[in-house]
Amino acid sequence: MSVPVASPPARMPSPPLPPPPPLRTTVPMTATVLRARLRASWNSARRTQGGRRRVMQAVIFTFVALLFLGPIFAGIALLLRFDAARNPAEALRYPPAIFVVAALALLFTNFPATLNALYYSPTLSLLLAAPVPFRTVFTVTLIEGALAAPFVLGLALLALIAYGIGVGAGIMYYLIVVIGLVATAVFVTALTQMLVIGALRIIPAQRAKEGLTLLGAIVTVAAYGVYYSTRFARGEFDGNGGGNGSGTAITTLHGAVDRIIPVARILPPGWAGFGAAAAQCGDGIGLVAWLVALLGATAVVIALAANVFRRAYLVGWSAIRTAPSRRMANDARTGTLDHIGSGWSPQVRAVAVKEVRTLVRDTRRLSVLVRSAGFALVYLFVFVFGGNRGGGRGGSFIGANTDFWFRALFVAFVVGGLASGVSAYTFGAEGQQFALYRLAPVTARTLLFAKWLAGMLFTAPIGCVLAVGVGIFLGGTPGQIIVLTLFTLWYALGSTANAVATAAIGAQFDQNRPDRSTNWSGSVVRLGVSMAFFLGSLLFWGALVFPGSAHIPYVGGTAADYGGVRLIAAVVGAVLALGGLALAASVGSVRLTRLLRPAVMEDTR
Amino acid sequence: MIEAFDLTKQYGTFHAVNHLTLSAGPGELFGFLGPNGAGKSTTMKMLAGLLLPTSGSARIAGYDILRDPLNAKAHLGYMAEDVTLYEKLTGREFLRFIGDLYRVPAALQTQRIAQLLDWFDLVDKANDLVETYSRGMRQKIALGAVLVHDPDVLILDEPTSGLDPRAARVVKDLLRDEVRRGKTVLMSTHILEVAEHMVDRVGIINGGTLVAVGTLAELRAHARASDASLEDLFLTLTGGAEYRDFALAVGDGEGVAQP
Repeated sequence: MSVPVASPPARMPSPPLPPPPPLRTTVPMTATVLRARLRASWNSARRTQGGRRRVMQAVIFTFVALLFLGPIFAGIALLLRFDAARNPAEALRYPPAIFVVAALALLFTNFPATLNALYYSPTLSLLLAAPVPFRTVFTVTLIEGALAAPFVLGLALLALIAYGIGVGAGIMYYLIVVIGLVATAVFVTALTQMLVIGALRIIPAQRAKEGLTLLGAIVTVAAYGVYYSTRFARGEFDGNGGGNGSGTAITTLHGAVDRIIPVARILPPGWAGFGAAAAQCGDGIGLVAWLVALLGATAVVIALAANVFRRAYLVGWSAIRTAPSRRMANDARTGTLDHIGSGWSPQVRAVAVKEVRTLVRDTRRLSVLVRSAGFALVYLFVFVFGGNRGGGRGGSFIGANTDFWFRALFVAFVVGGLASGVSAYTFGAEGQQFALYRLAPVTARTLLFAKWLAGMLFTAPIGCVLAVGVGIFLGGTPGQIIVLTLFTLWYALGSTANAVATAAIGAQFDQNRPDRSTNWSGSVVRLGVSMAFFLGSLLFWGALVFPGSAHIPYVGGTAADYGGVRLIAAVVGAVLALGGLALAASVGSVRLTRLLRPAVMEDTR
Repeated sequence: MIEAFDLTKQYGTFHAVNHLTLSAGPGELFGFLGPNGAGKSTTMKMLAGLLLPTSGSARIAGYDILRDPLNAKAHLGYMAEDVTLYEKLTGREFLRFIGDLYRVPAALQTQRIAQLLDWFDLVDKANDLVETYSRGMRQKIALGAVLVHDPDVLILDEPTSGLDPRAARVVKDLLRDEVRRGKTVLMSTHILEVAEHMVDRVGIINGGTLVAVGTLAELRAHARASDASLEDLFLTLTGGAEYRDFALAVGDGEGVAQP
């Protein structure tokens, strides 16, 4: 059968194009862009399997969070009702404090989100190339940035509602709260935009994204350190590491508010709180004054940010896309790293070496490690300098800082934090590159082991150095220091295993940010297994290795005084610690095996 | 050797790939052609073990990709259209990582990587981070990663896309050389001139269904258009319903896969 070969159809002459419509102004154009983005998000949530799964996870997470937050919410409301009845003037200072805390939390969490909204949104080049007013691009990035931390805003709203219920506030209070939170989110985002755009003039272009993320982590840790330093300077630690211990929840709250209120007077988000407090008192003039001040300050910051955006945005935009050659190690240095895991199979070595290299070079992942290590060091500072140094048994639980409990807590915080920073995102951070493992003849067990090995290369040496340092500082004997180091190694082994296993359980590959590459299920399991491992380790090591210095709280004596019970406690501890790890490793292995199998849908991973 | 038996991928009521059966033997370069969205990449992903077929099976070098994935993958090199590389490794480190992942002995690996970097003109850039590479350089490194373990079977989705003419020529020569060494290569391309000059056999897929398989000469003979180019045949087979008779006629057992 003969078939004519296709020939192109005759081309019809194109009709003349109508004259182009006049360029649309900022507001309708912004509405058009936002509508398209909203539609894209809606389609992503509704039509893709991954999107539907994320929506389900968010719903479950919210439900579980509400289960936990509900009692806390009720507790706060009762506490505030009690405090407001006792001291109405004192209670009026809570809304400004809540607004300021929310603003600071937004400032720290907004850095990477603002950076992404400003420079890495995939449709930005389309907007910039199209005849879209520059103000539209600014407004869209501002709104995206302001909505980037709904969790922080939600928590602040809950706290303010709890306060409102506690003090019996009227409708005007809640209205001001909503306006205040919106203004706070916009104010902070505009401020962050200016900082990010300004920082891009300083940080070398090729390191901009990573540099800013790392800067965010350092600023967060520094703020945390400064907070504890001020508490320390005020003599708030007398040995229990968590405050003076003599005060009630109310006095602790008052202390925190005392520190925040001076900041609230100069920081516009705090003015929203003063406005809300004025609304609660029925002070109309005060309300209007604070509200006008807040909205005026927000408008000024937006105008400044828009100006900075107009003048400097494109400089950063072009700089961030310029990536000059970055020549790395010569072969000799490369060869040194290749000795990692040389006793194991080439596959284990390949994955472990790759992991170490990417962790050190990817500043976004490094920033997670910096944050974890920074928090660990702050806690270390609190434990070491806040305790009764070298003084034997103190009066409080942790104050007995030369006994086993102090050491165990120190190791748990430092090593657990490090392990989490290094390994808790190790699978999700692979992103699309995880497909390379799916193509290779590699098993889940090999991957888990290699990642664990890579994590241990960071956690164990850093933990051991700190353990030896603290041991020497506290005046321990060589034997005590060796045993403390062994305990640190044990804890590094276990917490790294937990972090790697739960990273596999919660791995999600479609996130740009490494610290969001584990979903809630991974985080929840990690928390549970961490608790089991911590308690199990305390029992096992306290009963078996440190019986003489493991003082039994409330009952008295040490573990050494409880012969037979001690052995049972050690066995229970070992079962609890290792059982939790084994469970996490098994579930992690099953999940990883499933991830290595062919996908059912193309968009699910 | 690549064998696909009755491969089907269904999303709801939509058949992305519909009862596809094909095979490519040792020493054969098989061109897999089709319009956008025809099911080429989906088929290749199923063959590579990345995507689970709704039904049917596939074998790579005699190993079932679903039942014996580790052995099948050890003999396979797959390159996706959108290449995925570790941005924070250098080109050389990335190739070494892949070499280790596929258990290539260290000495052989060093030799092979040096050879690949030389072929792709990347020696000077081998110690630069991948994040600084251009699209073409990434494509070259991805191709190198596919070849570093010297697999028996290569499945390549648009291997020449994004390459400069020189690199594209290197790839074409390299693939012909692999075929001469007895390797099986299945590649998709939209550049029909490339396919016309390179491939031993062609498979044309349209709407998820394999509508024609054969050498160029066989397809021309069945079309009774001895001077037709591959582009003419491609448009004939994928252009619309009016050409379905042709597809069915060619499909009467002579060089065309039966659905």
